[in-house]
Amino acid sequence: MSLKTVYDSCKTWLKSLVIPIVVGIILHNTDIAKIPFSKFYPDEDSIGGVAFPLAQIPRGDAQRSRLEVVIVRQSIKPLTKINFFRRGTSDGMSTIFAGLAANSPGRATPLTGGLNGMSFLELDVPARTLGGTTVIFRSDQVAPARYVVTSGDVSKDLADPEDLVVQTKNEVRQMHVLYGFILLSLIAATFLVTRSQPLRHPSDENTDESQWV
Amino acid sequence: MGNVTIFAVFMVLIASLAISAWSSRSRRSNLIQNFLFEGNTPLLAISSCIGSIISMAVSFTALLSAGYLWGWQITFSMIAGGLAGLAAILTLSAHPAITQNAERVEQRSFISGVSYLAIFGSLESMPYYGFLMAAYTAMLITEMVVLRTFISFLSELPRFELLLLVGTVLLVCYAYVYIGGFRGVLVTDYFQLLVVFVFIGLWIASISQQPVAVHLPSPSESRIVFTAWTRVLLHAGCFAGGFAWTFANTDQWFRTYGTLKVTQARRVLITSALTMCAFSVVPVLAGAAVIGRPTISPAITNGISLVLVGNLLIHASVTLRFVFAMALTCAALTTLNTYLMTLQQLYYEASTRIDSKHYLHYLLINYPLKWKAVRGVVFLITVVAFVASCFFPDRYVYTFGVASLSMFVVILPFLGTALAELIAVSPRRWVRAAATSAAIKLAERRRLTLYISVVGWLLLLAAGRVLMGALTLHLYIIPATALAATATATLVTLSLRTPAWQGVLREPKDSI
Repeated sequence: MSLKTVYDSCKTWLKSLVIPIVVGIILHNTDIAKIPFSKFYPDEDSIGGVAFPLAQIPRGDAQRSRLEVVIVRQSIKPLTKINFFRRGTSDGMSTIFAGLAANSPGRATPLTGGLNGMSFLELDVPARTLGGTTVIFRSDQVAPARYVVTSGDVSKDLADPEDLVVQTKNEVRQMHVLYGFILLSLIAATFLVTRSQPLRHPSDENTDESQWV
Repeated sequence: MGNVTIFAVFMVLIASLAISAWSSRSRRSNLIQNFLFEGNTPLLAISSCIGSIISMAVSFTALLSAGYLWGWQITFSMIAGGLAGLAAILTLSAHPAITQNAERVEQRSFISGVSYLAIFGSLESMPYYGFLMAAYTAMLITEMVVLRTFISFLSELPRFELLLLVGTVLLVCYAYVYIGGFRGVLVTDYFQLLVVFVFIGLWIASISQQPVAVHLPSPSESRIVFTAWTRVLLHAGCFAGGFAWTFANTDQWFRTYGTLKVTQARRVLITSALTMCAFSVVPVLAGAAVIGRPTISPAITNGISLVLVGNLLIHASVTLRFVFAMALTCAALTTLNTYLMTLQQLYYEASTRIDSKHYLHYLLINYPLKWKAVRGVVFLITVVAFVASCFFPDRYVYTFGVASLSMFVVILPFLGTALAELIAVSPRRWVRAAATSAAIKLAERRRLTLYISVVGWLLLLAAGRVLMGALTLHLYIIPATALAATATATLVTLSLRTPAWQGVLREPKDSI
C-alpha cells in the first residue's frame, strides 16, 4: 500500500467528516431535511383527532359523577347495528350519549336489558367510522367498566386497551411509504438478481482442478 | 413531522443495491472463486475493516452498556488485548504458508480458498468450519435482533411491519451480495462508511453549538460492584475479547492476508487495529460518563444504549435524525453483508474439503453443490437466521451476541499452532524443541482441542450462571470462560503423548 493510497483514503474520509461539520456549523440551526419532509408529512397531520357529536338520551336525573366512553369501529358490513353491553351492575346509570365520527349522532336506540349484563344501547355504525357512547353514572361507586359489543352473532369483549388503533394521517402515510419502498426494493432486487449471470464452477472450467461432484 | 426513518433506510438500501450492481460489471469472470475472493484493494480493505469494527451494532451498543455497567477501566485490558492480537497476527505474516498464499493472490488463483483454515488447515480442521459457520449464523441473528430493536425505537412501527422491514433489509442485502460478490461487499462497505462519517461530522457540528457538561468518573467507578475475583474475570474477558477479535477474526482475514499482498495486509491490519482501539474507547467513555446521573433509572442495565441514543436524538433536528437513521442502516448493512459473504466463503472452502463418503455429507453438502448453489445454501441459513431472530427474546441479545463473538477465542489454538510453527525455527534448541512439539501436538489433535474447548466453555458458562447470576449483567464472564476453556483444552492437548512424526507440519495446499 503506497503512501498515496493512504493519503487518498484519508482524504476521502476526512472530506466526508469535515464537510458535514463545516456545513452543520454554517447552517447552525437550519434544518435542511425538514423542508422537503414537511411537504410530505405536514406537521398538522401528525395530530389525529375526530369531532364526536354525542347526543343525549334522557334517562333518570342529571347527576354526573362518573362518565365512561366506549369507542368502536367495524368492518363487517357497510352499515351494521352494534349492541353495547355493560357487564356487572348497572345501578346508577343516569345518562347515555351516543354518536359517530361522521358529524352525526347516528341512529341510536336506548335498551333496558340483556342476557349477559346490561344491554343499554343499539347504534347503527357505518364501516370505517368511529362510533361510540358515553355513559354517565350518578355515583362513582360502580363496578369497573367492562363492556361487550355485539353485532348479530359476533361478540367482542372490549378488554384489550390496544384493540382499537387509530392512526394519524402521517402514520398512515408512513405505512404507505413503507409498503411502497418494500415493493420498489423487492422489484429492483429481483430484476437485478435475475439479470446477474450464473456462477461457473471450477468443474465447468477444468476438471483437473475440481473436487466438485 | 412524520417519521423519516423509513426514507433513510430505503435510500441506503437502494443505493447499496445500485452500487453493488454497478461494481459487479468489473468482475473478471463468473468463476465462483473469483466471485468469492476477488476484487480487494488496500483502500477497500481498510474501509471494510474499519466499517465492520465501528459499525457492528452489537459491539457498539454493547460497549456503551459495558462502559456504564463496568466503568471505563475495561479500555485498558481491551486495548492491551487488541495490541497483543495485532502483534500476534503481524508475527504470523512471516509464516511460509502466508507467503505461499500471497503468490496465489498475485496470480489470482483462489480455488483452494484463502481463510486461515484453508491456509494452515488439514482434514483435522474440518470441524472448525462448522464451528465458524455456526458463529457467523449466531452473529447474523444477533445483528438482526439489534437492528429490529433500533428500527422499532426510531420508527415505532407495529410488530408485523417491523419484521417485514427487517426481512426486506435482509433480502435486499442478500441480493446485492448475490450480485456483487466479494467486490460488491467491499465497495458498498466503502460507501456505507462514508455515510457513517457524514453522521459523525453532523453530530460533532450539532454538539459543538451547545454546551455539553461531561463528567468522567474514575476508571474503576462502575454501575455494578466488583470484587477482586470478578475484577480479574472482567479484565481477562476484555483482554481475551480484544485479542481474539484482532487475531482470529475470520472476515478480517479474508480482507487482509487472504486477498492482499503481505505488506499491504500488514498495513491494513495495523490501521484497522488502531482504529478499533480508538473507536472502542469512545462508546465506553460515553457509557461511563452517565454513571450516577440522576435522570437514569437505577433499574436500567444493558438498555442504557437505547436511553443514550434517545438522549442523542431527543432535541435533534430532522436532518440529524434522518442522517442518523441512514448511518444506522449503513452500520447494519456493513455487518450483515460481511456475515453473508463470510458464510459463503467458509461454505465454499468447507465444501471443497469435505470427505464425501458419508451419506449425510453427500445430502447436505455435495448435493446442493452439484446444483452449484453455494449462494443457495447461505440463503437457507439466512432464512433460518431471520426466523430465529423474529422469535428471539430481546433481553438475551447481548448475551447471545457476546457469546457468538467469543467463539473467536476458541479458534485461538488453531492460529496458535501456526505461531508455534514459526517459533519452531528458533535458534535456541529448547525453544525449538518445545515449539515443534507443541505445533505437532496441536496440529494433530485439532478436533480434540476444539471439542474440549466447546464442552469446557459450556460447563464454565453454566457454573458462572449459577455462581454469579444472570450473564446479561456479567457479560465479561462469556469471553473469560471461553479463554479459560480454550487454555485448558490446549494444555490437555499438549500434555498428551506426541504423535508419530509426520515429516512435515503441514501439507502444501497447491491443489484441492
